[in-house]
Amino acid sequence: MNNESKNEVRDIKIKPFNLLIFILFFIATFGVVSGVDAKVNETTIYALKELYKNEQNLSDMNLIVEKLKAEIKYESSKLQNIKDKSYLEEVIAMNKEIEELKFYNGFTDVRGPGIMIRLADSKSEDETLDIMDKIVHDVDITILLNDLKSAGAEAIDVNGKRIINISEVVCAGPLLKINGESVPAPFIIRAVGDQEALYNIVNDEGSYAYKLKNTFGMEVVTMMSYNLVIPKFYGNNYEVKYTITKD
Amino acid sequence: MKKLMDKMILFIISASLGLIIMTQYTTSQNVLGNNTGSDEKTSELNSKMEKLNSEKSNLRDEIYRLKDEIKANEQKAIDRENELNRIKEDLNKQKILSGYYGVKGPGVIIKVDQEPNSYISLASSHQYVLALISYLNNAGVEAISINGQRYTNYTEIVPVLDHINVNGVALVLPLEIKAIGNKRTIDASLNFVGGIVSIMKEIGFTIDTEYTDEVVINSFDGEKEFKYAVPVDAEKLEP
Repeated sequence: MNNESKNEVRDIKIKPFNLLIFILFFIATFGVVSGVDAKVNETTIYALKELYKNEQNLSDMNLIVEKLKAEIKYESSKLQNIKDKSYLEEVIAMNKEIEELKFYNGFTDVRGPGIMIRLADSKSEDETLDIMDKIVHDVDITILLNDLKSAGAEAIDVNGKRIINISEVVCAGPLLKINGESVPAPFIIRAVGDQEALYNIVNDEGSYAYKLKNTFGMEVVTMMSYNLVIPKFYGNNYEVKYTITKD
Repeated sequence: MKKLMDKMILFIISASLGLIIMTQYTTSQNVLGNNTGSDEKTSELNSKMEKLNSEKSNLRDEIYRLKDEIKANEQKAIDRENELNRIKEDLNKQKILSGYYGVKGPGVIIKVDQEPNSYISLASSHQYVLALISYLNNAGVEAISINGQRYTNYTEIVPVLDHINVNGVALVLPLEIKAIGNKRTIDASLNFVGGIVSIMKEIGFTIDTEYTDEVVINSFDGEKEFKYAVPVDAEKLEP
């Protein structure tokens, strides 16, 4: 019995090998246990996942915003370019048209060859003539201007007042009213055009000016000039108030 | 035999322990990546977030700046639009004056005819038509036509035989003269005592004026070629 127990005791006697194995097991078990609790519990994992997700989201958003920004820049610059171009082209085209129409309408100073006519009241001492017949009337000027137009005058002025299609020549007491301004005698009418034709329409026998000169004794002096400058119609503030284009 | 058994058990336990440890290691590696401590990771992520936030606010600033720029451009566009409208108005004015466009507006339609049983030579009284136009212009009318012939800057009224030529088109009585403008002013300019209408009536014309809110005036379809007149820049002529 004693021997047996002695034997048993010997059997479980701690051998260095067994101790080594025990220590190894202890360390391994410690590792397993501490590994399970290595601060990686469920919440940590979720938090981490959340963080990763957030990070991903942020970088995605960043990308999107970056892209949008580039797009906005591109679009706005493109728009600006288109705007600039069409605006300038439109303005240039319209201004060109305006200039052409202004020239046509008499809103531009013009230069060219033509004639000058000086027209003044009669100094005739013929007593058979009525005093009213000795005065230059609005209608005399109107007819003379019409004659000049029919002779192809391209620009006409009376005492510096450009005659255009909306110009009036009407009597205003002792004066004439042209383009809304009073004009006194003598009247200097200048017309740009074919000098011969213009001269003839005034001086031909049977013309209205010839009649004024030779029947009523008015002063009608015609002079050719190679370089007349006719001022523009001074109506830059002229406004069309009633008329609209049909279409 | 017993010894072999012990060793077998020992081996199995060791192998399973090793397996468990490796599984743990790889799992934690998968979750944590290279980050060993979550504190470190959090601070790293925080700094990243901060960076992203500042970037985001920068972007927002940039967007505000762009918005401001667009706003400024819009103002510019509005200014340009106004400028364009001004030019268009100018162009429209010149177009209406030129006579090359059909126009309409309030005004007057004047019918000129001769008294029945009387005879007037239109050719020898064309000055009355001229005077009538002059008095219409005195009323500030903006467009005139005679029997559909637009009175332009270069329209002449030429007496030929018994009729008149307007824009090269022969016209006879009755004449229909249309004008667009202020109706009351036109009336006053034509119908004063001793005015053009009374003068024309005296010599045997009949004048029938009708004031209406819509007078339609045709365009002029002829061409005018300039051979002598050239535009000059007035400023260059000043001494």
